[in-house]
Amino acid sequence: MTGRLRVLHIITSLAVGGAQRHLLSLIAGLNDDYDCDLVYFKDDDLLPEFTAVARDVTRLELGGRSAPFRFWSLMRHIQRGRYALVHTHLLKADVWGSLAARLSGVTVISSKHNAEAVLQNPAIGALHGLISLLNHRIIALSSAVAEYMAQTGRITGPRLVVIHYGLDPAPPPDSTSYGVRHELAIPPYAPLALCLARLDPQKDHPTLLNAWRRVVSALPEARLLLAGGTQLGGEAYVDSLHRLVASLGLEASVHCLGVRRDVPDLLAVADLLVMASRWEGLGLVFLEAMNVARPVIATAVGGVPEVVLDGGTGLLVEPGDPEALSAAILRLFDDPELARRLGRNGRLRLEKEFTAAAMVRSTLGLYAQIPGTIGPAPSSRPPDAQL
Amino acid sequence: MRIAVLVDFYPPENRGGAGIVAQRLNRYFAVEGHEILVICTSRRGANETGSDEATVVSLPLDYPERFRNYRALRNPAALPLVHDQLQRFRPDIVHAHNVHHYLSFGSLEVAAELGIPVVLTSHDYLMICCGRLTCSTGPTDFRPRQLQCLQQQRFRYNPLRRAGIRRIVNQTVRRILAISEVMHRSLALNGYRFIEIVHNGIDPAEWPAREASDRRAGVSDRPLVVLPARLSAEKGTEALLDAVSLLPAPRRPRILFAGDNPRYQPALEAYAARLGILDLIEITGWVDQDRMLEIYESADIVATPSTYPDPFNLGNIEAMSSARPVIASAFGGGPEIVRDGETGYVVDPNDSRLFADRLSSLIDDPELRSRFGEAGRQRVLETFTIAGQAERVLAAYNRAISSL
Repeated sequence: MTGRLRVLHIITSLAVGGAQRHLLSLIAGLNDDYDCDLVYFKDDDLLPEFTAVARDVTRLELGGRSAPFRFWSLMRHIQRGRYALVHTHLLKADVWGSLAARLSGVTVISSKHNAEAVLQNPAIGALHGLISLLNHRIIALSSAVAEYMAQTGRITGPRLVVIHYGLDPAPPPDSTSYGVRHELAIPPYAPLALCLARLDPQKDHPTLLNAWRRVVSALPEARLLLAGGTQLGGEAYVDSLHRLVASLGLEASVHCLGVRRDVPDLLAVADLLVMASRWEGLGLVFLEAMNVARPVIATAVGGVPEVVLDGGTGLLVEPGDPEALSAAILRLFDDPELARRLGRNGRLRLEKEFTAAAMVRSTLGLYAQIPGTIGPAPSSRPPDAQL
Repeated sequence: MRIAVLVDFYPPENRGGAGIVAQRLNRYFAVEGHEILVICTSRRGANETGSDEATVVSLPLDYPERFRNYRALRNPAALPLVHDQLQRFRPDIVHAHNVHHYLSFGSLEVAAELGIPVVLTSHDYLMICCGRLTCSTGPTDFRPRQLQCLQQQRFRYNPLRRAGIRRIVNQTVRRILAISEVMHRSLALNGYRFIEIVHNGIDPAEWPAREASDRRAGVSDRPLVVLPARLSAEKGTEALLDAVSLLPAPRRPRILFAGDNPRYQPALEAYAARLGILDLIEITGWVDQDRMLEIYESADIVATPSTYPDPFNLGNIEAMSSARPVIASAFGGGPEIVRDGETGYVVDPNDSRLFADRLSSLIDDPELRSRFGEAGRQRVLETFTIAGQAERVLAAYNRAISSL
């Protein structure tokens, strides 16, 4: 309809997650310069949010017996849309999207949101390296992911660039809101820790629960909230978690909330965010905690040290070490002044280094370098553009 | 902004939810200072009235029902009239609601030819089906069966209807607003593009949560189940009766059907008589909003067990806003609106056993009813307000105007 360039984003799933929320803010930011369409393969959770920002959202299921036909329809979708660029997100979309786009003669950029464990299989890693040759540029969301992708994912050459996730600093929340505490009948004075993570082995809840047992023996009124859903096939892990909570005798101090969309409100009522992840690409959740000025206790894995400064905006511990984790939690519960300072520093760091505006600017700069497309130059945007 | 609204039936001419939704939006926009022209149709001659929210122009359009599947594409009588109105009003945007009866999809082409951006809200399946997509075999099946369509429509069947409408809409409409995720999927699967989900909303102040205290004193101590919809088997009337008949006689609730349909009413009464529960049912006939408020106030449970994929069903959010527990259908938009086990229950209406179980657990437990009702009210305040809907519709207007 317009003369603007079209970009097709392809993502594997629209389930609630960091990559999806990142893509939402990316599309919203790109809308000023490009027409953005979206194709996804499964899960409809965030469909309403995406239809409000993308020009067109299409679900194309891959897999099953009719996979070749589905792949063909993806190719046809790319050809008919006359896209200047295809941008893929998450592993499955990277593979099929890159193939379909290159076979249709369209340039592909691929975003790596996570240090995917399957790539440790040498055969899959090698295959991933081959597929990645189809990509014009590959965006990693942290230096750690970039390094992992270069070594384990066999990505070669100078195509790899790092663009951090970004978050638009929101106004500070209403500190008098006790919404969730009220909902769960948690007294306003009880120390409250929050873990915002999919119920997935990657997030290592058992270590957190073991640490929490030590915290509760020192501070019996402390409460822990576990917010996050399960992916298809993760039921066994959830069952094991429930058994662990029961066997540690933590039923009274641990609340499982399921999927929540009121993340800022949850963070606002909590005293700190705690994550025991075994690996993280970057962790959008840390940015969200920084946004509402909450201190972060996390494991020094993947891209986390690039975001969370140990002793600056939070505390970092080694993964799989319940003792260190519980010590860090108790330290912040015991020293509210330190907690407040770390939280405030986090907010300042977010405003300076991790804004969505900066993320969109870098991505636009990358798009503008694509040969054969005359992208809008990033310098044409006013530096303080509201995105 | 100058907004022209195209809708076949606009209140007080009342047929289904599309006109009501259009009117609620118009009221909201009028307060915000937008200028609105409503172009609707009437079978009683032309007239032009000003209501509170807009100038309403009724075009005198009528034709024999049997040509519906052809006239839906382009109604030659309507196009010049719409052209005149649009040329005189010069709107910034045209927002079409349901136009498949009299105004026809051709009026969208008229708007596009005048260079006016068009936004279309899809309230039902009439863009992809001649009826209510009753051929759907499950909650995720949105493919119209042409053979069944031919059997149903017989000599009225128009094989080119679907493709024709799709062609017009895809060429003229800049944004399609789907009223639920189900609607989005059904349109996307049938070849429509540029669809956005904007859930319907209502004004929670207009549908207040009233405490229902000793309202039935002296009448009956049976709880009251309300089914707020035009009477038809597809809206789940018979499914509800089936479920109630499975309950033991002393625990059966009273059933109130708040809607009319003179043609179907005898059949419904005969059905109830066959199940031996005729004395429990009451049929109000058509009710206005004030009466509807009273009905919700006296209701204990509201049921919306449509047996076809009802894309939204305003009854869901009206009942939730009135803080009443809702038992909704698993088909269509029900599961998006009603949270199973939080604001009510979601049941497959054909599964009478489960439906009856859910009914009886709500009948037995007033505490649970008020908890679900409260949670429902909260959910409406968060997700289904007219303000939220209007904001998203305005955003869609702006995107259509900037031709995104």
